[in-house]
Amino acid sequence: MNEEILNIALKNALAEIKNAVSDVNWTFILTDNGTVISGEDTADPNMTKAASSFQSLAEKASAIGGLDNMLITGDKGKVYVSSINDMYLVAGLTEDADLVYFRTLTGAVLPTVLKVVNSITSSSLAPTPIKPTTFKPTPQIPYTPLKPIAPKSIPSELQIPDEDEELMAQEQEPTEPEQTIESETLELNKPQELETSKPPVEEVPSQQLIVDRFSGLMVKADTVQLDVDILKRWSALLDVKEIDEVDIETFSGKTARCKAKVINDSKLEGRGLVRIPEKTCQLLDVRRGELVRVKPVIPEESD
Amino acid sequence: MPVKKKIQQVEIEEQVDWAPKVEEKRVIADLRETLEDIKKKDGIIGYIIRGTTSASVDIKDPSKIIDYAALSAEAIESGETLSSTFGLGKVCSIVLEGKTLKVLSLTKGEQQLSIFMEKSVDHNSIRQEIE
Repeated sequence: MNEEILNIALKNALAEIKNAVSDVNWTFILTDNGTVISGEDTADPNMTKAASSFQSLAEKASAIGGLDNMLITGDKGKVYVSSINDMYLVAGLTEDADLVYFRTLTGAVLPTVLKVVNSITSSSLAPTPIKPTTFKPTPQIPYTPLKPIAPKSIPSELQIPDEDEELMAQEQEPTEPEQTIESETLELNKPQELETSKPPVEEVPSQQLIVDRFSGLMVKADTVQLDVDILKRWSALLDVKEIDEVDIETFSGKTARCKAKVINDSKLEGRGLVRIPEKTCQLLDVRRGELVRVKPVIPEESD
Repeated sequence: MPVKKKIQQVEIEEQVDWAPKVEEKRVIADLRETLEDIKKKDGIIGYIIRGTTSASVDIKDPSKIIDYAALSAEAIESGETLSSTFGLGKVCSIVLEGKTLKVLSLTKGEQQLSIFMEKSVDHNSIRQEIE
């Protein structure tokens, strides 16, 4: 859950609760990580002090199955603490406050706010399916064709590509931008170059992919999963049997070399995803839905 | 039937002016008598009384005594901290509800007492009995 959005939503909710219930003197929410979210414009230092005292009590409350709620009645007022999801609402009430009304209101409003914020943030983080047109190679490598058809479709024995084959190859492509076709045609005109020379390191193809985080007991932290099409295309481009390793580069400049495997979930194929194990995501400081640049690593023995 | 365990410390006479102590002893005796009556009610799990020189624990499940004693002390201390922080005045009572049980803590004279009960028990009637 996005913490900033959550804080704003809860702060506003607390302010509204205070406006709605005249018996409320002050309120704050204590989150599970110890953050104090106050409904007031200026945070009261007393709240932090009270929060630390309360945290220690909440820990000991495991003896009664965890703290659900608490009411401290003083001769000049009350403090009511209520558990909401994994947070605690702490409220200062007047001596004759209507506790039932306050409980009903907060019990309805705050969980709803949390649910709404949670649904908003989770939906904004979910990866959106992308169209095949977004699978373009990065602009830095102008000669990179979209499909591995070019080098494969020209047998070395023929030397010169057959015009019919070329047309068929173009027809098989669904909807490619004109510019890409042109570059492909350009490659087809130079088949010998592709056949004989291996691309230099600086011309290694790369692709921007959406991060999908995954975890599990049998998941290896050093292995990422990619679309079979992407791996096939790269292996064809680099003229290697298969791509075993890839370099992942984040936009913040962090890189990692990982083993590459094919995405094993058919539902996630063809969506432009790179599935990165949770640990590696943490190392790279990337989240689900973010874009990263993925480059194949040219194997040493590629002949 | 769970084993009942009672831990009681002997009070030590230190002052020459013992006249108010007689009064205090009577209060404690009355309080314990009241608590014994309360303990017989359905849903009451036990109680802890803590004074300046003595403490008394009567909990149905002896394995929980330490946990309950720690919770009772923390509840009273936390209540006093919150009360002084936010100017609530003298703490009359603290009701701590857990997922399975609840605790009513209050101060009577010099004695701090906590009564552990099931959530279905009306703690307000218990408090009225004590007060």
